[in-house]
Formats: sequence, structure tokens, C-alpha cells
Amino acid sequence: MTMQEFDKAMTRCGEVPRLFAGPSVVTDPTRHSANFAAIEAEIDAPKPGLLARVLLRLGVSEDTVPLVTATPALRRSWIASVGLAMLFALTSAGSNTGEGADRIVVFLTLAPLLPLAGVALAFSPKVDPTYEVALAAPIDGFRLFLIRAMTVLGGSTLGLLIMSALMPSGGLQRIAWLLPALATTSLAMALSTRFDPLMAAASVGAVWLLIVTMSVSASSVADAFGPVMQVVSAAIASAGAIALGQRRRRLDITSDR
Amino acid sequence: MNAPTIAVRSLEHRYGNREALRVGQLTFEGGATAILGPNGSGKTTLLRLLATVTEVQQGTVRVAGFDPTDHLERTAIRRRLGYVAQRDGLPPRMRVRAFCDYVGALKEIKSARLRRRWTGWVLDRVDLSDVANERIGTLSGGMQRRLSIAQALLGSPDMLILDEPLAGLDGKQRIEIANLLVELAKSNTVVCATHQAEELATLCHRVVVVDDGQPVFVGTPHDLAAHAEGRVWESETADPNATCRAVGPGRFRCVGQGIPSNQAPVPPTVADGYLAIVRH
Repeated sequence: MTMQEFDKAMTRCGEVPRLFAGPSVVTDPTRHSANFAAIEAEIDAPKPGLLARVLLRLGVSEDTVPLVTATPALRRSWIASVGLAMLFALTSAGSNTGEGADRIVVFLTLAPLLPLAGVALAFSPKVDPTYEVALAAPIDGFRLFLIRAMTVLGGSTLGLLIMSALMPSGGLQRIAWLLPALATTSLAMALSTRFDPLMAAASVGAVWLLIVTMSVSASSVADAFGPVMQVVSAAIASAGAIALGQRRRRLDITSDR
Repeated sequence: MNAPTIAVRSLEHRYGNREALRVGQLTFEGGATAILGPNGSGKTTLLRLLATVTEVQQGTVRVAGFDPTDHLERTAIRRRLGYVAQRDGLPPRMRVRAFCDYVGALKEIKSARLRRRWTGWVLDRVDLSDVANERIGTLSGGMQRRLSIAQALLGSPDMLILDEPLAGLDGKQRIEIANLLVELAKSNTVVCATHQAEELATLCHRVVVVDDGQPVFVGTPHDLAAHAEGRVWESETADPNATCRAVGPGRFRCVGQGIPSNQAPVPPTVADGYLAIVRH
């Protein structure tokens, strides 16, 4: 029912307006106004968006859904750029055959950078105009940070996994980006408690590119993304998570020092 | 009135090597307090400290008796706080209603139904019900400012900290928002930073003038106006030794150290008192 239809119904039915406006029912004009505003809000409330409906269907709580759907990194521009980057990575890797198969390194190198960039965009004061409003609100800053980070991380990881599955060759090596991606994002999130998230992610991304370049030039792709890198990545991911947990209160307030 | 009190003592705040704020002792009791001061005087820094947005570097702040340096107490403060930042803090692509829903979730209003009711109520208070489904970026500057105030009212906080609440509003909107703030100040603690000495400070119970990072006046608007008693005159020329502002075609209102011998004093206003203080 639209507001206009509601107004018509109210006009037709003489008793209903009295329920709200009659002095015997509501004597406080503020409350009267508040009641009408609340009724209008209920009637005019648009249907939740597709993402919100999916999240509610998946069992995400009512108070978490707006926090997820308002994540700045869920903007179309970000999603489009991630899609293009993944397509580029897939094309680069998928076009290789025979002895050129080592070029899968393009995909494995770029893949961890996507969730990393997404996490940085999810909480940077430079990107999020509501940053100060969120800080002054009672919500736990760590919870908000995790909700946003997991939203972006989950989305980009799922996309990358689909891309990996679509790759024509590479076997298990196709998902060798997964642990490094966890390590870079975990480290960037931990550093975000001290530095701006964009700066933290850019620094971690630069170090990642340096390490991969050095590793690939010194050995084969299989070795570069082999067991040693996976174990080190797992260790860094764990250390980052612990550091983030320990410094989580820093996400509740800014420091001008 | 049982509104909470905000108290600061021996507060010092720096940005790197630059001292931004130095406050000996200051108390904001129930009712409305206007913080006046020129740009860069420390108003926003003070408000951000009171709103628990930025970390207290030195000194003590107590908001409703709670210490913002303690995590749990800071959360207790935020549950009673409505804050309007200097910059609007509005995502342009989000719709008005969705933004209020989001801020409601940040304010721990768990039920979606309850958030819708709050949204309807606050948008009605600031006369934005008609644009509830519009994107924020399509609203005028004045509407966006009113939306900032609306989000601060979500959850009915008993402390409101507002940085330039009248900025960007046209004449009628300024009156409406000023009236709203006066009404809210009847039962809450309202602290607003403003440039508009005449318009907003006159309506407040107290005025704090901040200059160069320090409070240089604390008192009632009447006291502030009295500060310029015998120092205000109007003439057809601007006196280079006084602070003069145009008040009509070819007419200037000047605030100086004393009245020139060829001029007659006029009754001072709050703005005159403010100019008399910050000039020195």
C-alpha cells in the first residue's frame, strides 16, 4: 500500500483517524506526531534490496544486514574493477599452453591483491564518508571492521575460486594464491590498527610483489608458490590475526598524534 | 532538568608539534552551549574529544560521569550521544532511508522494524520525510545538513554534539533547526560549534568563545554582549583601528577599544561581544 492509498483509506474510514488523533487516545502531540511518522515509515518502507534479502534468507541478523550492505567497497565501481582484474588474470593464465604455462604466475600474483585492496577500501577513512559517524556510535569498531572485511574478503575469494576452477590447467597450483591472500589481508588488517588501511594495504601489496618477483626469478613457479610459501603464508595469516585481536580496541577511536 | 554533564580538566591536544587545544577547566551542563571561535581556533578538536571520536592525549574528560579513555565507559557514552561531524559524513549513493537504517544499526537498534520507526520519526523532525527514498547525493546542501542532524537524533540521545549545525541552511531552515535545537536543549545537553554568533549563540544558555586553542570567554549570551558595552558604534566609514562590518548600504558597525569622540555608542549584541574578544 502506498502512502496515497493509505491516505484515501484513512479518509474513507472515519473511525481510524480518531484512533490516532482523538484526545482520549493520544494526548501528547509529540507522541501523536511520532506515531504518524512511524506509520508512514512502515508503509513507505521500500522492499529490502536483493543483497539484503539474500543475507536475511541466509540467516544474517537484522542488525548486521545494513552494516554489510553499506560497506563502501561494495560499490559498483569496486565490483566492476575486481571483475575486470580477475578477467585479466584469467585471460593471462588461460591463454598459456605448453612451455608458456609458467605464466600462471600472473594469476597467482594478482589474486591475493584483490581481497587486499577490497579490505583496505572497506574501512579507510579516506574512502568511507561515514567513518566519524560510525566512530561516535556505540557499535564495537572491531565488529564493524570484521563484518566489512569479511564481506569483501568473502566476495572476492569466491570470485577468485570460480576463476581458478575455470582455468584449463594447473591442478592444485591454481589455488596456491589462497593462503598468500589470507596472509596479506590478515597482515594489512593488523597494520590498519596503527596506520590508514589504504597505506597498510599498499605497503603489504608492494612487499608481496617484491617477494614474488624475487622468488620467481630465483626458482620455478611451482617452487615459488610451493610448500615453503604456503607454510610461511599460514604463519603470517595466524600472526596477523593474533595481532589484530590484540589491538582491536584501536579500531574504536582515532589518534591525532 | 536531569541532563548529563560534560566536564574537561587540564586538557591539551596536539597535532604533531602544533598545539591545537589547551583547556584548564570547562563544564557543559544541561541546556545548550554554543562554542564560538574563528576557523582553526580548536572548536572542532574540542567537539571531537567530547564526542569520544579522538583519543584524549593529556588531561581528563568526563561525559555523564564516564571516562572515554576506558573502552566500556566510552561505549556507555556513545549510547547516549548524537554527533554531527563538521563534514557531513554522508554517502552520496545511499538512499536517505537506508542511511538512517545503517546509522540505526550502528547505534545498536537491533530490530529492523524499530529502526524504520526511528527513521520515520527523525526524518519527520527535520522535514525530510518526502525525500526518504531519494539518493543522498541528489539532495541540496541544506537537506544534507538536516539529514546529518536527523541521524544524530536516532535513538533519542540525551547529549548532542553538533559541529556547525546551521552551515549550508537557508533562512527558513536555519530557523527550523534552531527551534529544534532549542526544544531539544530543554531536556538534553546540547553543545554546538558555530560561526554564527548572533543567530545560534543568542539562543543558547551559555557561550564559550575559543581563540587560538584556549577558551577566552565562558558565560551567558547577555554577558558576552555586555563585554562590548561602550565599544560599539555605527558610522558611514570603516575605522581601520576597529573591527568593522557592513550592516547596510554605506553603513558600518564597528567594535573597538573605545568610542571615537565623534561617534555615539549603540547597544552591543552577542556578535559585538564576540568580535570584541577575538579581536584581541
